[in-house]
Amino acid sequence: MEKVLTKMVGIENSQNIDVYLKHGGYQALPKALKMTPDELIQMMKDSGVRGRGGAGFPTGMKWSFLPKDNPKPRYLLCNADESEPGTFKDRVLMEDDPHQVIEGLIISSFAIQAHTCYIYIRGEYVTGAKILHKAINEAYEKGYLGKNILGSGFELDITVHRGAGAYICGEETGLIESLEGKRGWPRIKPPFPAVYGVFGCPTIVNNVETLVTPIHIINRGVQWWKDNEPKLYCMSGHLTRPGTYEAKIGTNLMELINDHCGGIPNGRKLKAVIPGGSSVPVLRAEECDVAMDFDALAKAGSALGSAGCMVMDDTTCMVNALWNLMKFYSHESCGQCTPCREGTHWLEMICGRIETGRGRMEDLELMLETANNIAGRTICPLGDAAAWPVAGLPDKNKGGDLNGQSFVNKFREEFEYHITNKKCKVTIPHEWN
Amino acid sequence: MALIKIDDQEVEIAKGEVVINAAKRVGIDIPFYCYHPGMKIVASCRMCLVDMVGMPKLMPACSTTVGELPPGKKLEEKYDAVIYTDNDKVKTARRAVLEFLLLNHPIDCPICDKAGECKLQDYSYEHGNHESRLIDPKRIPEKKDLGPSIYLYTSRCIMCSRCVRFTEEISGTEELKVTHRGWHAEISVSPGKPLDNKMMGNVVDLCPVGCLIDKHEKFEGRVWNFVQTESICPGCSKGCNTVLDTMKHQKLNLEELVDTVYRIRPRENMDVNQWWICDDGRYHLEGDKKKTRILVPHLRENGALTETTWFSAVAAVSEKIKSAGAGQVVFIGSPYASNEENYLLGKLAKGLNAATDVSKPIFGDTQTFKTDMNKYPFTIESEKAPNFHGAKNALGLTDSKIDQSLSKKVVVLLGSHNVDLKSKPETLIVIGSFEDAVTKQADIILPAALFTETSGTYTNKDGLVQKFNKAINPPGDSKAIWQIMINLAQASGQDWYYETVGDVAKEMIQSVGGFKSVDLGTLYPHFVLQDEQVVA
Repeated sequence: MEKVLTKMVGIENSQNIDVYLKHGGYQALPKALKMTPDELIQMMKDSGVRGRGGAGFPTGMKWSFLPKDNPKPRYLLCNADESEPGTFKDRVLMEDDPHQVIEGLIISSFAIQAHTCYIYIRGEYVTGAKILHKAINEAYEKGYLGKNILGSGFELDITVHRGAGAYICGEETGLIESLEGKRGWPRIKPPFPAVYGVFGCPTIVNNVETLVTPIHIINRGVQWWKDNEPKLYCMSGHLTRPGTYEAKIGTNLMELINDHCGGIPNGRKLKAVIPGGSSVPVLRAEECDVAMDFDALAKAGSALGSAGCMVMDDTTCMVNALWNLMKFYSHESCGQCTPCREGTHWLEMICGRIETGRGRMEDLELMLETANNIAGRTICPLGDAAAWPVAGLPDKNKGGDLNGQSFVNKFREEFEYHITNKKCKVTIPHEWN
Repeated sequence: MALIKIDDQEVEIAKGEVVINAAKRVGIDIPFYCYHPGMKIVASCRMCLVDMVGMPKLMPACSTTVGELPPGKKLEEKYDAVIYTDNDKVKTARRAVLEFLLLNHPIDCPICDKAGECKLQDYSYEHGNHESRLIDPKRIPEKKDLGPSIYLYTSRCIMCSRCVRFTEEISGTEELKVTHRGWHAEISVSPGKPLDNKMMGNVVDLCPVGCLIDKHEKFEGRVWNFVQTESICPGCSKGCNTVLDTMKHQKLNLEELVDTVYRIRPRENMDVNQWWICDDGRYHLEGDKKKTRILVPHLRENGALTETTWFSAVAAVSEKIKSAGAGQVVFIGSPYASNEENYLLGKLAKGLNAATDVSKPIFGDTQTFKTDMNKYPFTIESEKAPNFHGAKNALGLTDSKIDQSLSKKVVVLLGSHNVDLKSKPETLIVIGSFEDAVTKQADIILPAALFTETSGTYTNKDGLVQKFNKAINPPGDSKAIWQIMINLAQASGQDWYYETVGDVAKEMIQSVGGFKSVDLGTLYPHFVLQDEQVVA
């Protein structure tokens, strides 16, 4: 399949603007500048692009929420915080093809008529930030940024802002607060950022991968996009060739594991996959024959999220794996809402107790109940993200309670084995320790 | 205006009004911690979650507003929202929040000063689990010294962030910050920048739990022993509404019971002080503790002040006034005394054909706490007396001419604040509470009650007449000034008497110009002219 998003990856000096231009870069920009902003937003709506940071909200619809009569300036924030465990697709785009990101940002800014754009990049991406800085300077020199871009009269400045390494600052309102120089505590919604965002002005926050999509829709047309929508998958865990892979959206998960990534190494068997970054419910091996798109994964009881696939083979202790996740959420909870602040830590403690042989049978129900008490009761989705791996997605038939289909129930016999025998059911091979 | 149904009651809700307020109007109390009407809404405690029909998740009542639905889409054909505050879903959520809050809470209520007025206690009884399911170790961080008057019992904190928002939005001093993240999150001050401003005492009232504790009140009393009395702060001409918490207690090594005012708290009045008072007012009585109180009448005999009885002191006063002759007597009212007391002083002087005057208030600094986020900037007024305007009005004066008045032969001084005696009048009679330079020179001292020990009204700088109530009995032989005035009047042969201070107020309103427009019943909702009563 032809690579679209990752076309430049592997080409020598792909970060250089001349190399990008040689390979057909900045060709969508003049076309976009000849369209009207409304046409661009309609194009995004028609193409059905959904946000690729995790929530999967339709991008065109988000852009159309901007109030028409607000005299304040508009801002575009590019969310390059990429802090979801198991996700590393934006890093590839920024480090190997920064000009694609910049071109996407210019087109998107034009579509929403923003004249200032911030790239909020996570603090750990030092290389990415350096490369973006250099690329932005090159773009200014060539007249793709600054005043009167390509003679269209459109003006845009892009600033790279480095985060300080908090997961919560990848949440859009937490990101806005952090960018304003405050503590990264998410805001209550409404008002949504499209109405009251950064510095109190209308703001659109989108993921890096989402913001490069308009380039390819303009270059190849809406129909081509609908037929061949490319998506980046971050494949990690027990794989022969882990890495970022570009494939058509809806590619089968087993195809990604076996064909793209060379399968599970050392002849071991697949045990489970977390398909969309650490925040989504886990899939058992027999559930992994599923198309990797938003709807099919939702039907399978999980979510595409940020498409960060974590593959676990049969040497993985699921109690330990869940404990690891819970440690992360407990560490990264911002501390604002009660259920998340206290609940994530409690889950971590209970998980750790079971893993270290001090668990009780009632702890399993306690974990499910605690997860249920966190999910849906917090300002931002971090609470949900911590609860879903434990107890699955909300179920309308249960009055919004979690359906219980994740780690604890799907691998219940392993948890129970741990509690009764005070040790792992699986033997962890020597080399992992 | 939208019509909503909360549980089984209907209530109208204005545009932009939050559900928690509308519910309160129909008597439904939705529990909350972080919400405060005077500060930014953060909706982070999640205690006020309610079930709104049509919403997939529970909604925080403190931040949810309701807009009008188009006619065809009304719920149950007439409501713009249907809200349940007490169904199983909501109850489970409340129980869960309380369980979470208590996970790392030390539950040291027996030694916590907040016990009895703690919302964590109240809601735990009302909505919480009665048993803990936690078997893991708790996190118990050390207490912190935030500044000159506040301790932070870190382990009791529930992270409602009210105190942080107060220093950001109301005082504008921004000393308090949240540090760390997640379950490690703590309220802290920056090194070298303690919590030290004239409004800081308010954070103790704001704290819904026992985390912020006032050093003045620490381990001093249990709140269920306190009696609350509505009062007015006498610290400046602003006239902040306060509550006095008082208690009878046994002093060490003494068998008698002593009345003490333990603390002064703000009382909500949107027209004057909103929800706050300054620390000058809050710790107003701390300064009094250092002074020596005059407990019995004193009479100068053979050059020395000696203790005497009320009977002989009052008789001596009327004797001195009579012998000096009417033209040589002046009665000087006080901006620190109530309208009623100044009025009676004026009435007494009129009956004796004596002159009246008023002493000057002390002037200090004005301090305004102004931030972008606060609609009502809080000002500490420069005029450090509660009732200069009222005193002038009650005495029918336009300004103080005290320097001339002090040259009269007989001077009757109501209070000795800010009186500068250049030369001692022939006879100086002081009705006062504390020993100072003026009382040392006095010929007769009549011990007077403080504002906590009597009732009356003050008129603030804007002309607002507000009532303060008696909280404790005057110590020793001291008496309320209005009662002293009655005694003096009777001793000098005038024929008037009042059963209560309320009777004085009624007559004053009728007869004094500036009070005629005052309708005490409606002007101020708490104004009830009640009889003076001894606190049980």
